[in-house]
Amino acid sequence: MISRYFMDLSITRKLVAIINIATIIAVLFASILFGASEAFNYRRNTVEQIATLADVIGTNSTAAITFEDPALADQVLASLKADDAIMQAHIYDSSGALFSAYHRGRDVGLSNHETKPAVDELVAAVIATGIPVEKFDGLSHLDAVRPIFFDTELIGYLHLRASLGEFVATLERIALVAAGVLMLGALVAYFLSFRLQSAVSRPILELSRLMQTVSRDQDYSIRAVPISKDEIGQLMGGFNDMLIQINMRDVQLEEANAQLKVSVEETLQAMEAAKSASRAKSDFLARMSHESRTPMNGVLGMTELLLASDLTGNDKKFAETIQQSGETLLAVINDILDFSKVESGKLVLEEADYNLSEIVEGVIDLLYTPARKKGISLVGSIDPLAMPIINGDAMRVRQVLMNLVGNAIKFTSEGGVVVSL
Amino acid sequence: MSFKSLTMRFSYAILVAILLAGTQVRAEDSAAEVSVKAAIVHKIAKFVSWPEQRFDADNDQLRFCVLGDERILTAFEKLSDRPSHGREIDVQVAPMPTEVATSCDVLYLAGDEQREAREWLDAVAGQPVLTFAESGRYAGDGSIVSMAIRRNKVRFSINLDANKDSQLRISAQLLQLAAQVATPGHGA
Repeated sequence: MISRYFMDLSITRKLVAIINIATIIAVLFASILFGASEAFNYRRNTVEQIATLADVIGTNSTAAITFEDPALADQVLASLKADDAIMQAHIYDSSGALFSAYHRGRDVGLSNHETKPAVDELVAAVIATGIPVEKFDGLSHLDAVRPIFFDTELIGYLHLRASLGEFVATLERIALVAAGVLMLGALVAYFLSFRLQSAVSRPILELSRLMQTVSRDQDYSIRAVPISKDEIGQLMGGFNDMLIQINMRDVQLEEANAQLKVSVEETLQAMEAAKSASRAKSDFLARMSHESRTPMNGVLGMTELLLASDLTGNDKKFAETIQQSGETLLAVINDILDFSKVESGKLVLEEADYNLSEIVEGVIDLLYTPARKKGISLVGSIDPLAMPIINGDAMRVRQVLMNLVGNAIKFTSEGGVVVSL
Repeated sequence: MSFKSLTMRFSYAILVAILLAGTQVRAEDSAAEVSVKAAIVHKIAKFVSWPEQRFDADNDQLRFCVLGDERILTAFEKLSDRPSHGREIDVQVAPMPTEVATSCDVLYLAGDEQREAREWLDAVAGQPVLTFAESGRYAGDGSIVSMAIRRNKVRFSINLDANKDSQLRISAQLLQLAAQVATPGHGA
């Protein structure tokens, strides 16, 4: 498609093409108008000249027609020799009969065969209407037929046939001149457009080059230098503003980035501090519970030995209390140790198949006595359809269940506790 | 135009024009001869112009007067429906010589009355009256136009000398119909 092809042309070629096309069209139109006007004027002048000549010849032949003297009419028509353009002349009497004839370059005689029918038709038309007629025979000839009046009386008709050789020559000359003007105009327009188009295309090309540089080098400090105050100048201004904004954003972004880095650093440090603090606490707890267990075992072992001896009365009771509290304390210490293990990630869970219903039963057996002492019931309800074999750490599950049910008993004052599986 | 030079050439000439009238007329066919003569007089009158002051509101007709020969009078009357110079044609018998200069614009002296022609011609000499006379006999005597039949055709000649003071203007085209030209002193 031509428009597509045109749209893809470079600005330079586009401008040159536009200027040239516009020039050629303008010159073409001017030439056509000029030629048409010349042709029209020539045509009108020719018609007027021939009509005037016909009137003169008609007037001059009045005596010849009135006194029916063809020889004199021939003489009048022969005077047309002076005009090279007149090819034929005929005088007809008032009835339309041929009275006198003149043919250039030949003896006076009858009409020539080629033009006679057309001329006869034209004469007949004028006889019928009485109106003078000028008719172009193509571009080459003009036929004029006029009635001849004398003393208000219609006495005959005159036909003149004029050659328009000069007209054709004039048209050819105009066409030649127009072609010359067109070529010259196109040539001048072509060279001028090459010089003038740079006023428009150069800043655009400059801007385009600048944009490429900016996007290639990522250098946003480059600035376009507007050389005109037109739209392209505005475009360059806008381009510069854009670069300034991009530059500003860049700086802001860098600042924000730096700040972010600092705060990330701080956060990491704080985290590290917190982690080491936590590690220290766990270490402390583990160490403390571990170190506490050794004397505790001593206390409990001695208490067991004490209870195995013969104690009575309050002594036995005191020793039992010591044993109970010691066991409780050991459990707390163990819990703390576990907790510190969990926290320090040292707790390793076992992976083995175990029977969950056995664990439930064991926990209920263990806690049955304390529940009864408190006056509440403890019931274990095991669904025979449940799948009791589970892969995991049986000891931890028992511990969790012990805690849950122990707490349940602890915080239940009436009724009972039910463990269902 | 060539007519202009012709006018110059003829202005001081006694012109004897011989017209070959279109219709052949035999001398013995006098009725046809008379009507052809009348027609030619009528045509010639169209090529002659009278001074404008000769006509006014009361008198705007072109008056044809005939001396003698009733037949030519009748022939003129037949033509009187064809106006000349835009004027109606009034045909009448020529009045007495004393009145003819004021009553006639065209005076036709027929062959029969030519013995008395001299008197009338003298009466209109120098007046705007177009005079016609038959045969060559009186042509030199003062009529402006002389009519004749030669070789079976009606011909006419014009005597410019006779027309010199008449204020009548004779068209160059009419003069061009001349076959013979003579300068004063060599009158044909």
